[in-house]
Amino acid sequence: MHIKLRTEKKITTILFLSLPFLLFAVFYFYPIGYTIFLSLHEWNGIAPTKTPVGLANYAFIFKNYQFRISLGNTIKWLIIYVSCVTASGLGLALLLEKKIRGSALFETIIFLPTTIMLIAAGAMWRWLYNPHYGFINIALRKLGLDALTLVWLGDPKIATYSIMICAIWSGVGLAFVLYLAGLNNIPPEYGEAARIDGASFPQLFRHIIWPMLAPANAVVIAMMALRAIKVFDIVYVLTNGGPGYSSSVLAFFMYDTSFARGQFGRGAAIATILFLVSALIIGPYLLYSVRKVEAIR
Amino acid sequence: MKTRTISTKQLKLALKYLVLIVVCAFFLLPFLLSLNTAFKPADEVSNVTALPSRLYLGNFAAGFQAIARSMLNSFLIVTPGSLLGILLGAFAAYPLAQLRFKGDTVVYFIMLAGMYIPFSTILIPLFLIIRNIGLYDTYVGLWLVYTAIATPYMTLILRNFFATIPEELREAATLDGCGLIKYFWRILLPVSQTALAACFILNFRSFWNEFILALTLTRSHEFRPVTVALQYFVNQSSDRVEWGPLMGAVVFAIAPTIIVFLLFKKQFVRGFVGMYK
Amino acid sequence: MKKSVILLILLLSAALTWSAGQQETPAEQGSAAKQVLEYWHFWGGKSEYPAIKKVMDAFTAQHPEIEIKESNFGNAELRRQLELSFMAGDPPDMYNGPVGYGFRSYQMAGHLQPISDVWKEVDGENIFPEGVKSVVTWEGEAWTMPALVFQTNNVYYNVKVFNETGVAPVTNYEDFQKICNKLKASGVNALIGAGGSATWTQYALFPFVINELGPQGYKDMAQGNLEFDSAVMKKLWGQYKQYYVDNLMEGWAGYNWEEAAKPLMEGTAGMYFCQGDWFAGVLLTDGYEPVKDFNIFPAPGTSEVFIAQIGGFSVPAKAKNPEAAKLFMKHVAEPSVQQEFNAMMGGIAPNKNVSPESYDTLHKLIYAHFNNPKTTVLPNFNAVVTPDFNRELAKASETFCTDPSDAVLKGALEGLEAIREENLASGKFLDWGF
Repeated sequence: MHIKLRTEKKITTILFLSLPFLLFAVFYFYPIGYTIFLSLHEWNGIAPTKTPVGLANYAFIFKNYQFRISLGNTIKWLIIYVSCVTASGLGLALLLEKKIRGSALFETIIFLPTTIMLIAAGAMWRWLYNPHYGFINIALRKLGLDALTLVWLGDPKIATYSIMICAIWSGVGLAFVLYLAGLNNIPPEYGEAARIDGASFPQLFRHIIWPMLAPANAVVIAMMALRAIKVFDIVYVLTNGGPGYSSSVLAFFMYDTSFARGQFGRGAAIATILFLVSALIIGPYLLYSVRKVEAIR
Repeated sequence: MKTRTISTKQLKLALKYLVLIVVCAFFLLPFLLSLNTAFKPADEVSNVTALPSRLYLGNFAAGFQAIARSMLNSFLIVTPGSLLGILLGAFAAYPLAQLRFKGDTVVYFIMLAGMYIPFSTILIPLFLIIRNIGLYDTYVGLWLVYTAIATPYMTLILRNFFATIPEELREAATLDGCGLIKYFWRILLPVSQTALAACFILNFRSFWNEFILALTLTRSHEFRPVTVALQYFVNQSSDRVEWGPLMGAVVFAIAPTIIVFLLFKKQFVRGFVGMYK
Repeated sequence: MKKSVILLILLLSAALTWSAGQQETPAEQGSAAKQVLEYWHFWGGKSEYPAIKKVMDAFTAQHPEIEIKESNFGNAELRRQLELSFMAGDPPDMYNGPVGYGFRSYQMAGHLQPISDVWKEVDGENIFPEGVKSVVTWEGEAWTMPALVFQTNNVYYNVKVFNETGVAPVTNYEDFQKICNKLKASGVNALIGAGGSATWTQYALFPFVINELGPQGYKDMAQGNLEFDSAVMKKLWGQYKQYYVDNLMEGWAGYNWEEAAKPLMEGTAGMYFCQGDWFAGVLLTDGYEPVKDFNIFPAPGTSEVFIAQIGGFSVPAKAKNPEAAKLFMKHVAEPSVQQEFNAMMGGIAPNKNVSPESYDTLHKLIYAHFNNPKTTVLPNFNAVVTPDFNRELAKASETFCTDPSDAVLKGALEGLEAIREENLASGKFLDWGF
């Protein structure tokens, strides 16, 4: 009986895991290997042969001006985008933790931007940012703040930040929802007890809320960090990396190098670097969550 | 006599409302502005702060015409893709959650890792694979790719969900002579309806909004989804953009996911949160 | 209850979009098997699209059995999509692209088919001038049918502003600075430029190369013989900064090339330094008259030079309907078609049989300059170097124009030198015979 069950378990396991695994192998493992392989060659995407060049692509990239800017921007995204979205999400979650009149409406509105495609978000913000007819500059002019009417997407010094604002607008909802769930998971007794003891909100936050939000924090930060690394859609539709390279990020640099310049080997090298960067950032979180899973077992 | 002072509690509440209203205005502004522009004929568009003089519907007609076909494509890509994604996620989650075996954590880890690979990393090989099997610029090509990229997320959510289903249920079923496979189809899946629904909605949104893979794997009018078509519409005339029709198109493009969200808020949020428990 | 409502709505919208999608293929309405000519271009601007539409309509009128399915991408995206379609083995029947290097890499990989048969039919050898022939043919075969020639080293100016400020066209940069100063003193911005594409700032760079080093300098740069870490290169970029970047009006990057017509013609700026003659197309569409409202003069130092941007049509090797494409090319090579096409686009026809009398005053001058035996015709940079190198130069110029600091210049020149060396080492610089 037991043996039969064990074999049945084995067969079922193999059966059920085979298709997902096959898909994984074909669409994840093989492509990653192929990207690394391609990064060691030079290829214009349409020639029948690929020329092996060793690490020349990497050497070229590390000395390249566009790479330095793209990497720098990706790091800016990691720091500024992640912290802004996280802080805003947490702040809003704290405000709406206790149900008040209109909570449902507020929550819906906060989450609304997250539901739409980034291309559409970009289109709307591009219209907002238009230097001559855009709402932002027109409103500033009406308020007499002409000095603040910048060329939001055309000024290389601020283009990246303008894009970030749009991305933050789009991403806060998600952080908010996750933090809300995290806050609701904190047993109310802790808060009650502390309040009875006369604790102030800052004390409450530091000693009870923040520590108990650790899992939610890990999730939100990891997720937002991944988004920051992956940034492509919004840069593509708002500025196409420009002006110059000022708003280019790694993912965009990779696409541009491969498809606009016909340098697929170099593009693959950038893709590999991107992969390593994300592994570096996400790796710790991955280990953390797997250990958590083990603990639950 | 009662002192008519505003208590700190009331003040705090008022402040809270103020902040929330300002924040919500920030979140709503782009939507309202786009809607405002969409209703204006070309000559009124540049007067951004004014309301339209009349409800002009020409932009919606133009916008719809520009992306109608792509919306159909999106429906036909996203719906089967979402269902397949759920199915494969359930396939993977079942053994990992209920049929424990040695090394299942390793397998789980591998599946999870897939979640964190940026699509741009595997873009070119993906394109070459799809092209070589003749599925470039087809619905099937995207079903395959989207299913593949959804599997890690689905596995994660469903595994967590399946783990909450008591062992006794399965034991009782097997005692009654139900095989492990039958159990999956006849009992486990029906019982997990709510989780599956949340997963479907999650996938629907992700795929409807997906851009970079769609951009690379489709090209023709007949097959490209709405993200790609909208993007072309944005960049259409070498450099010039016609804002009225564009906003009309935007309204149509974002409508489905917004409608799904408003009608299924709970499942929507549950899906996201469930991903990361 | 909710579930079925949703399902109904989804089905309804699917049905709606399906019907809308079906309405976009009118070929199903009655006429029997129509041939399809799939054509990709990048002419979507307000002066450009009507021009190409007219050409297509004239063609369809003559060949009612052929239906043109056109797609309009932006310039950069067209290239990406074209290459993807080559890789996928599913290209369009015809497209517009840069000549010279624009087709060379595709041709070398076997993705284009020669159009020598049509070329002979229209007598391409004799109707097109040398400067054009050199970049549409390679090793005895023709690859692109030229239809438009634009000059890109002209300075456009507002006649009224010039008259009121008492300035006139100049031929050297000291005088150029003087008129810029005069304009600024009278409350008008000296120069307008345009953002939205790195190409425009690149066009403004070439006059400085030619001014300092003559046409030979341009050729050297195109052959990879001009080093970017040299003293002369730094001097050139210094002049670029002094006479171009520093005279640009504030907020120039907020305009794209079509929008820039407005400040120029409204008198907010006096000059547009170096834009292709398609700009004239926009001005004409806006209702301005050449010579009366706007005029041109060659960028100082380039009065004997004509930098030519040539627009042409090519046919991919795997095109499903190359015959239709070739019929179209024959059509577009005809003098009457070329004349009308160019009149709306703002260019001049490469076909020598188009009578110069048909051009407006301005284009008569441009035409005369093009055909003057003393003029050196230089193909546009994107036609003679690799896309990688061209894009790097364009991006470098755009970056520098938005921030002309030493740090930026250093980075830009380093990047350019790296690509120059790489292209040189792998033999990517070709001799186009100009």
